[in-house]
Amino acid sequence: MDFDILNSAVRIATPLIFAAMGGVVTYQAGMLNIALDGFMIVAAFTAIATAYLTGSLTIALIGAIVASVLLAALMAVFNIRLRANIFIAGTAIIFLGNSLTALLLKGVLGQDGVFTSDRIPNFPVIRVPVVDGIPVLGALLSGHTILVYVAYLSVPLVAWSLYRTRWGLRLRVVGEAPEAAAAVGIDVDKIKFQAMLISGLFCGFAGAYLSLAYVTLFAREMTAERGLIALAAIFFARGNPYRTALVAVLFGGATALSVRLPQVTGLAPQLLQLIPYVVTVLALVIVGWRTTRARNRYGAWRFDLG
Amino acid sequence: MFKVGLKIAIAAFSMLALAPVAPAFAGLKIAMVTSESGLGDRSFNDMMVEGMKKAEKDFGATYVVIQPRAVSEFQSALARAAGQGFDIIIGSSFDMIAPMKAVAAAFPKQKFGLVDVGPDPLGPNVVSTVTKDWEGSFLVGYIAAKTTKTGTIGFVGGKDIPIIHRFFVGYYYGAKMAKPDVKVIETYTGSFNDPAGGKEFTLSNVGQGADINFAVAGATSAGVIDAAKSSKTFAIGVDSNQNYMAPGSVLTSMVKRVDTQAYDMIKSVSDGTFKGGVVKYYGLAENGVAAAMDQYNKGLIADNVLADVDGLKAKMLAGAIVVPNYFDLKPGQKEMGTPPMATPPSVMNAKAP
Repeated sequence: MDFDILNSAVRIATPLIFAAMGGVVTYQAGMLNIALDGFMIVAAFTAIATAYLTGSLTIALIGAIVASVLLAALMAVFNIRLRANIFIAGTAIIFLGNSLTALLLKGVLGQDGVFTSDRIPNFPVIRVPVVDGIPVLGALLSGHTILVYVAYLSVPLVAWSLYRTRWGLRLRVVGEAPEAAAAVGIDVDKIKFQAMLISGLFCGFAGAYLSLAYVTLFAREMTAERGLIALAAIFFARGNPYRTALVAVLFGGATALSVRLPQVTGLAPQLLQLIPYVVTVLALVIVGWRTTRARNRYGAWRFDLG
Repeated sequence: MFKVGLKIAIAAFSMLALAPVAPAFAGLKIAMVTSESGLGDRSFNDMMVEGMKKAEKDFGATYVVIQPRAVSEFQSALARAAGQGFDIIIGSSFDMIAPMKAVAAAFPKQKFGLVDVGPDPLGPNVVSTVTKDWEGSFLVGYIAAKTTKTGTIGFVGGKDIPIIHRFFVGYYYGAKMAKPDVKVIETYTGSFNDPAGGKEFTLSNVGQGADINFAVAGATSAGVIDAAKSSKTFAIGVDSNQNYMAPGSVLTSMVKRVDTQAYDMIKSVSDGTFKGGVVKYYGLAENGVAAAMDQYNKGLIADNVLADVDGLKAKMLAGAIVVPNYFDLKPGQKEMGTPPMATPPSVMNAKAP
C-alpha cells in the first residue's frame, strides 16, 4: 500500500478545496451557493474544448475561468438583481450547467457521454527535486500538477482576504448583518455580486483541474456532486477557510482509504465506501449541535438561508 | 391505449401522405432506427450500420437509417417506418422496448427486430436478442491473464450491482482458466459518471500490482482508460470499441457485436426463416461478443493468445466450456461453470437466500 495513499488523498481533496474556497467566500457574504457543481461542470467542459481546439493549457484555464465566472454572474443577476430565491436559482444553474455541457458535447465535439483526444495537452506532474526522495513528505508534496499547489496556496490567500483586508471585513459584515452594513454605507449588493464572481473564479479552477489535470477527458456530469461535498465541508467549518480545507483533506484521506481498504481488509466495499460520507454526516451533526449551542449563547448570530 | 393508437395512426397517415415512394428495388428494404446517441457515436449505432452494409452486399438489400432526436420520438419514428412497408425494422437499446412493443402491436404484419435487450419476448412479430456479456467478459479475462506480466489483473466496476457482477464472474472465470494462479482484484467505484473516481480506483489497483484493468463502469470507464495511459498499464474497454480512446493503452475492448445480431435478423428475413416472438442469445460461439482488434491495439496481444480464442469458441460450441452466468448462481455455491471452478468469495455470499 505504501505512501501512495497520501498522494491520492491530496489529489482527491484538490477539487474540493477549490470549490470550497469558492463556497467560503459566498458563505461569508451570507449566501448559500449550491450552484458550485454547475460552475464546475461548465468550467470542466470549456477547459477540455478549449484545450482541444487551441492546444494551449493557459488559454484553456483562462477559458474555464471565464465560462465559470460568466455563469456565476448569471447566478448573481438571478439572485441579487432579480431577487430570485438563491436555492431555486442555484438548482436552476446546476441543471443548466449539466444540460448545456451535455448538449455542447454533442454539438461542438460530436460526442455522446465522454470526450477525449490525444490532441488535448494535460498539466504535467511536477517532481519537487529534494522532497521527492523523502518517503512521506515526497508523497504529500511532490508528484502533483501545478493546480494542486495553487489550490492549497489559495487557502491562506482567501483567509487573508477575508480577515485582513477592508474588503473582507465588509464582506463579513454583509454576511452577518446586511442591514447594519447598509446603514454604514456599504453597497451590500455590490459586495454580494463580487463574492459570487469570486466563487465562479475558484470553481473555474476546480473544473479545469477535474477535466485537464485529474483526468484528461470530459464526461457528462463528471463533477459527481463534488460541489455538495465542498458545501458540507464549509458548513462543518462554519466558513473558516483553514478548517474548511482541513475537512476537504479529511474527506480526501477517507476516500483514498476507502479505495484501498477493501483489498487489505477483505470487508465489503460498500461498507468502506460509506466512510467519507459517514465522516461528512458526523461532521454535520457535530456542527449542527455546536451551532445550536452557540446560537443559544449569542442570540444575535443568525444565518440567512433564504 | 386509444390515444396511443390514434397517435400512431396519425403519424402513419401523415407519413403515408408524405412518404417518398420506396425505390423500386427487388431486394429487401430495411429500416434501422438509431438509439438516442445517433449515427457517429462510435458505438452501437455505427456498428449496426456495419451490419446493414454487410447485408446490402450479401442480399442486395437497401437500408434507410432513421434518427429520432430523443427517446420521446422513438414511437413516432417506428410508426412512420412501419407505415412505409419495410421488410424489417431494426432498432436497439432498452429505451426502445416500450415504443417497439406498442408499434408492433399496431402493425401485426410488420416484422421488427430489437438488438441487445432483455430476455422477455416483445411480441409475435418481434425478434429480439440478448448479448451474453458474461461470455465476452470471459474472453477478455482469458486474454488479460495470458497477457499480464505481473500475474495480477484488476476489475473496475461502476456500481456494485448484479448486472456488473455478471461481467466480473465471466472475467474471473476466463482469467482463472487461462492461468489458475492469477490474482484478480475486484473493485467498484460506486458511480457510473465519475471518471476521476475511476482513475483513483485504477491507480490503486495498479499500486497493488494489477497491470491490466477491465472497466465496466459507463463514463467512469474513461477514467480507467486515462489511468492506464498515465500509469503505463493497460485498460480493457466495454460494450463498444473503446480502443481509440488511448491508442496503445487499451489492450482490447469487450464489444457487443450488434452488427452480427442485426445482420442475422436481416438474413432470417431474406431466407424466410424469420420467426417473431423469439429471443435469441448471442455469445462467443455466435459471434455476438468479441475482443475488438484494430489499428489502435495492434501488436498488444500475442498471436498465440488470439489463436486460443478460436479454440475456446469450438469448446463452447461443443459444450465443453460453459461460462457461469451470475444470475444462475445460487447463494453459497462453491463451484461454478463447466469445467467447474471455485466461486470467488465475494460472489459466493453476495446473493442473499
